[in-house]
Amino acid sequence: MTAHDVAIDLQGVAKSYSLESRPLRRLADQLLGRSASGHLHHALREVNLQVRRGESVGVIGRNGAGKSTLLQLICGVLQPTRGQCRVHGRVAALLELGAGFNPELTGRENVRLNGPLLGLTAAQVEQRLPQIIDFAGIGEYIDQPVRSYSSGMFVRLAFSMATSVEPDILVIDEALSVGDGVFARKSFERIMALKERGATILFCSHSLFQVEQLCGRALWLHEGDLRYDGPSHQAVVEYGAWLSRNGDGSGEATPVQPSRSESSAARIVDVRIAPPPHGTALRSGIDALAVQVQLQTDPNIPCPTLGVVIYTDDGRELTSAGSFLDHFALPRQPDGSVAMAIDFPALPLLKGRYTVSVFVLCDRAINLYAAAHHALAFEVVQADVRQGLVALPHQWRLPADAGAGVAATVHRPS
Amino acid sequence: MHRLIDPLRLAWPLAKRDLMARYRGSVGGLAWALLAPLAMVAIYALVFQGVFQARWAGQAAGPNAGLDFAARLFAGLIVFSAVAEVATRATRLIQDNANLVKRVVFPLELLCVALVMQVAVHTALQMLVLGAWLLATGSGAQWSWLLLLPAWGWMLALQLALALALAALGCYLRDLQHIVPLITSGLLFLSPVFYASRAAPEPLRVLLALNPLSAPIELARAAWFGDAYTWADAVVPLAAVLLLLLAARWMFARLRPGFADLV
Repeated sequence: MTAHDVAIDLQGVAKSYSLESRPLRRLADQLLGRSASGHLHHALREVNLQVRRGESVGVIGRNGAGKSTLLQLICGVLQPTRGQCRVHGRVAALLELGAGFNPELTGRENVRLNGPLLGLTAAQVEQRLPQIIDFAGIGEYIDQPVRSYSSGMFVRLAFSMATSVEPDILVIDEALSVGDGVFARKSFERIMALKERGATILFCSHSLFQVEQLCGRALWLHEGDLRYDGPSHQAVVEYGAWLSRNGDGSGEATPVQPSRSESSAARIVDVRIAPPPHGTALRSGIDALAVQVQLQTDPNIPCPTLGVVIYTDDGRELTSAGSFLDHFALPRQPDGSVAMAIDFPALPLLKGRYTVSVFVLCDRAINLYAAAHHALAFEVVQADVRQGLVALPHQWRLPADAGAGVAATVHRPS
Repeated sequence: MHRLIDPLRLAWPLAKRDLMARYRGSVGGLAWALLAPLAMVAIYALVFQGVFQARWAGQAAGPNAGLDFAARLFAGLIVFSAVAEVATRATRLIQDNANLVKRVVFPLELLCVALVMQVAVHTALQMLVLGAWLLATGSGAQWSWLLLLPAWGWMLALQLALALALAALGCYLRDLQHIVPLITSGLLFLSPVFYASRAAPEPLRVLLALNPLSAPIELARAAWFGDAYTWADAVVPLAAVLLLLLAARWMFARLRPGFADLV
């Protein structure tokens, strides 16, 4: 990789915060250039990182792992305690949208007055103003004080402005969930457009799914250390494995409790499991698990996609199915309603309790429109004593060198 | 030249933003920038003139002595309140703009420049009023008014130095938010606002000489009223202000990396 291709170059970058609470001592330390005395909190230690131009890199890790610190260092808002942080190109930070907005002023005034902070000249701001207002979609509210905006409108205007500068490097901190469903999709498309134009993207999210979908490469940070740097699917696996080893007590494991969310783009009207033909439980390997979903979607946006995830009783993801990955287009009525069912025939799960979540995602399966977390639960029983979670197809046979074609028994879950 | 102009061009939107936000939604609007100081001038003049029978040293008693006293007081008060406002607001400057400090990359010293600019708008308005007042009361425009420019430049240098120093220190020492208003309200009486320096008794003169506000206040008043000004007196205080400005710039640059960790 030549120097020309490098957009972000971190050499041994570390950031530590002084836990010194005596103000005079802190002042003296800073003024005399002494390295902070007393206790230090290491937010980031010795990170080496090179990101090529046009690369999309995800950043994953638990809260407090140093993700935000890393992004802030790259944006230049924080100064590294040690090491060198070089960034080539114009950075647009979607860290805290609308940071410089003043609630008393109108949207238009705020855009004009904040332009210089994003590196735009007054003329450039005037030239882009119509586009910014149009993209934010807030209509005549642009001439109302920002304090009268809904939080969605505020974020939309800020996002519209932050991304209008045509950045070389886009730093995104969980900003894909901007506003409601429709705008979230628009904002995502703008990010994709910037990406296609060759912008380098740094994307921090708790949604491993989004990271994997958006970024080819991902960094896993843990307590300030760069634990993994490589292909995002591998990073997600490493992090997921670590989470399931250490997830207990971390306070971040998803609670297995039903919860729902919705947006103006889509609403889950009803989810249910077709009742088992015999008794109250499904028979392993015999009965089908049939999940029925009814949605109400906004008929003006492209038809959403549906995802179904099955969890073990303790909340671990077991498997999933998505209409986007299966290239299955949901049948939608002109009024936007969707009625759909998905079957898992001869359910290969073994005995136990399981829960099901249903997700409604945008047409590219990135933005979440609506969710019903752990909305359904079902029980599986089995006739034998096989152990574990799933029944895998398998066969017993003699080893290859002990004579062919003898005693090949295909065992199907009975 | 760009090094001088660019910061001004960048800081002006910030100053404008704060000015607009400050007066937006109030009935009086920008008039408040005038009403408040004029009310103070009226009250001070009434108390010192009416109650204490104060007379400006060297001015003859006459039918216009009251107005003349008020005008001279106003001339000094413009300078004093401009510097005091910058000093008081600078102590909270970094905290008040925490969002910008933590989330947006831009040269933070512009916040100080913007603060001085905002106050300069107020100062300009007040000076216009004093000028109009002097014209209306018949003293007429004088060539010495040109001296207002160097006086203002001096004041701006002092304001910027205080803004940089107090903003940086105030971020570390929150106590300054309480101390600085105390000092400024006391300093009002230890500055030549209600009296001329030369009329002060000997022990007070030492304090006046140490006060960096004394010299620009005297210069501004000399400019307004065409009084004689001893330029030799200006050398030491002016050099001190420029030194202070350099020191404040150095300190701000030194303390700045710690801001984001503190707000």
